[in-house]
Amino acid sequence: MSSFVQQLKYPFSQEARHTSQKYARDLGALADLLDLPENLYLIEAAEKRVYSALTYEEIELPNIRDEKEVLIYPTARLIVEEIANPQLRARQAEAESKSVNKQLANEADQFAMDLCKSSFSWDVESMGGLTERAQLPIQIKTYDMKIRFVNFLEVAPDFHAEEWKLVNRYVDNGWTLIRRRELNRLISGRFKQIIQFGRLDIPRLPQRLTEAVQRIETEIKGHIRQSEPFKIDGQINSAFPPCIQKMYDDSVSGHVNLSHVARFALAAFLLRIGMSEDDVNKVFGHSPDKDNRLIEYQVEHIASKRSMTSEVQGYFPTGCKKLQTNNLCPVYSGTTHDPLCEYILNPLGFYSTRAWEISKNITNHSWYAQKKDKKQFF
Amino acid sequence: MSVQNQEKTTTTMKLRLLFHEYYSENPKSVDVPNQIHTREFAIQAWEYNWRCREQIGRDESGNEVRTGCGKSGKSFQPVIKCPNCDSKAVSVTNWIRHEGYKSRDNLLRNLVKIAPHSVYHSAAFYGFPTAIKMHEKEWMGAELVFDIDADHLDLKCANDHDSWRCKNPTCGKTGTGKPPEICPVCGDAWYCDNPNCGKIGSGNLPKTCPDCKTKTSRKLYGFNTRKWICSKCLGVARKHTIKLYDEFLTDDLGFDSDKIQLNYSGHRGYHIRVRDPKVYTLDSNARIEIVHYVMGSGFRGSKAIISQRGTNTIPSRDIPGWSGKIADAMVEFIQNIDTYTGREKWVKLLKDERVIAINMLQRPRPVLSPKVKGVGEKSWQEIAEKSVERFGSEIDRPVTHDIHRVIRLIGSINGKTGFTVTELTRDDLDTFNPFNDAIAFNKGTLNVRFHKGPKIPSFVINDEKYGPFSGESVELPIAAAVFVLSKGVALLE
Repeated sequence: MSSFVQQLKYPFSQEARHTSQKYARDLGALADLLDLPENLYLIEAAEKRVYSALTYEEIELPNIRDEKEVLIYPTARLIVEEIANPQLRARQAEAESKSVNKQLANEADQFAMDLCKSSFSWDVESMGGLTERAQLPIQIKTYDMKIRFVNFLEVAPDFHAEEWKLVNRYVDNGWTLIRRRELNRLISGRFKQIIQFGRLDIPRLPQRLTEAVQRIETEIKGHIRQSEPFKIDGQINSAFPPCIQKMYDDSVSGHVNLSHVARFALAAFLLRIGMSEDDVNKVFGHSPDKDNRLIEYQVEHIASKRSMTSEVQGYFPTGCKKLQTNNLCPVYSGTTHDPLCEYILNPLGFYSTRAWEISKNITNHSWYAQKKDKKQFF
Repeated sequence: MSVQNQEKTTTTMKLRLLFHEYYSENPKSVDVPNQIHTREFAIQAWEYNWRCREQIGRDESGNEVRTGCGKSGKSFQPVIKCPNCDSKAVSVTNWIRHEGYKSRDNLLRNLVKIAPHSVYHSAAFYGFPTAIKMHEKEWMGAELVFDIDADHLDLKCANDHDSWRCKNPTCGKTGTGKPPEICPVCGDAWYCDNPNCGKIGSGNLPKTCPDCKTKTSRKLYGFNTRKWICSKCLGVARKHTIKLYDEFLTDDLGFDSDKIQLNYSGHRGYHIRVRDPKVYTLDSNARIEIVHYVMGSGFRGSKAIISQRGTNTIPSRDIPGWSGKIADAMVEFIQNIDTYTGREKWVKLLKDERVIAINMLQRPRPVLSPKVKGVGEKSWQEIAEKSVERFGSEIDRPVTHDIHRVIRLIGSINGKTGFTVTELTRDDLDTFNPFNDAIAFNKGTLNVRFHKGPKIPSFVINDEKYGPFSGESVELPIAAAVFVLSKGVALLE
């Protein structure tokens, strides 16, 4: 397959964008084009693509036997943007990026590097073949490529594993070493951002597309929970430390994928303050990449850990320090403040103190300074 | 106006006049940020602008009650109640934000005209820099800025030269160093919440007032603090700046030195601006990663220190990134292990074998000495993490990751000291002495009278030592006089 056709499969590539524009210079023109009976198949394919995303099925990228098939992706975006349901958009972003990630695994290194350059203006270079790399120290021998660290940082903060933190990378003279499969994740991650945060100016949609929109809207009702999330009793809720509050809000809103550390911290915290496993599962039931069985498994795992030293079952909630290094402490990052945070090292300590204050109707917090020792400074 | 207020006003007017002369005589020393028309400027004025808020509410019986008179004005003193109607609902600020200038001339003309206490500009570029609301400004990008401030370094010299005073008017206890959590004199006092009773007691807080049975509360007044600067704290700030510049920004992150702008802040530290268009569009999350990188936070020791055939190995110095720095970071950490307050088991073991541990780490190919008995893979990893955190540059984190921050204008005068915000090259930094090289005024002398109370530490300006002072009237060369007047420890005689 020639590189041109190959690139058309990737909707963010320059080739795909140029080809789309060749047929329809803007979304208005696309709407007009889709109104033509001979283009009905594009609407059908786009609708199928959105439906797959909605139901967590894999998206099949078109073979692009016919160049016009590049229009399926913008049409699918039109459907989702017209509906403007944030959870649907998040699922589309998730599904589209997953399929790109999978597809990229079959591409040659040079193709992936060229795609980065032409699509995102990223600088990615090869570290040379295996024989060339043989002389390198053992730790860095296994890295096949390097990328400009500023390009790396466009996407890496979205991933939450420790190895994606710049401080844990091999960084030299503006470059950071990466492995090929990591590059695939960066590319698909950038694509995900484009769908999540790029907004389209929606034109007046043709009749057939409106029908597709309506069908998807009907489907949403069965697949995206409309009901109100599980409510923690207002009083308990108001004793949450800022970090837990933020994770909780993010989780129930369903717009954001919480990192593993955040999910763990939130689940361990909620379980420890006495919420049932069922209820904790519900808190996590809104995330765009949810997998119910996995959630239940993880929650059960966190809830059931037995410890030799503690009488209470379950993991101890994540401490402040770890939350801070994972960007999960809003006080540490300076976006909010609570005087109590300076006197605790674990969100649980915050909760027990604040819940007690609430039960006693204490609103003046000046007693901390007198009765408690400062444990950390912000 | 009281005599003291009068004197304060005269002092402020004099400083302002001097600043005015500086800006009219040295327009070239002001470094105008590029794309000036896209920058937000912020000005800290000498005077406070106050505005009495007019509010309409209802009292208990439902009658309309008006408070505040809506008047506004300027004052050289902080205003706590409306000078016109005594209402306490007054907004007071000496900051003017969301200013914009079309050109260099425009900015310079205004500086000469208003000769502000301090002037700042945004590191960001905006479509509409003068819009009041952030989302209306249309952020287009921002320089990557770093602030290295002695304030954040927790230095010993602060115990000698910083001081505090309890804000409780009936207490006024003073001390040196950092202020305590609660005042040792009036800290355990409690107050009856009933204004008609007003009973004060001390010791354990009673649930209700013994006299009137109303609720009681502690009242913490807080402290006024006076922060001083000396060559020691500025020396440490400089060391961190050099490390940030050399090791992290140029070596690791690969920025060209001609795209890095460096300056003395005019007070307790240094600023670095990276003016490389490649970084302009980095969002806050990406900047946090850079913050963590230069500070060494979040580093995982398990990635670098691994056990191979029973031997714990450490990466050699030629490995890029933090891995290659671990050996040196650990050497520095173990050398200073006595100042480490953690209680891990390995602390004592390391202390006992520190010489051999350091020697082995200092080898061209560093080695984790097996002689340090009882320290295994996990412990070495922990030690590596602690070492990396200590080895990192200390920076004021939010300055870097807040993409809307304002930063002092280079070439302006810092009203806290009267020193210039001085642009420096990397080479200048090695020999730079703020007490000689950031002096804005050199002609003449002034008569000043120092405040009574806590001793004002001695200081050196233009190689001349002054002080310590307490209550004296002295004739000082203008450079020293402007410094003490700006620091607020003396008034014009």
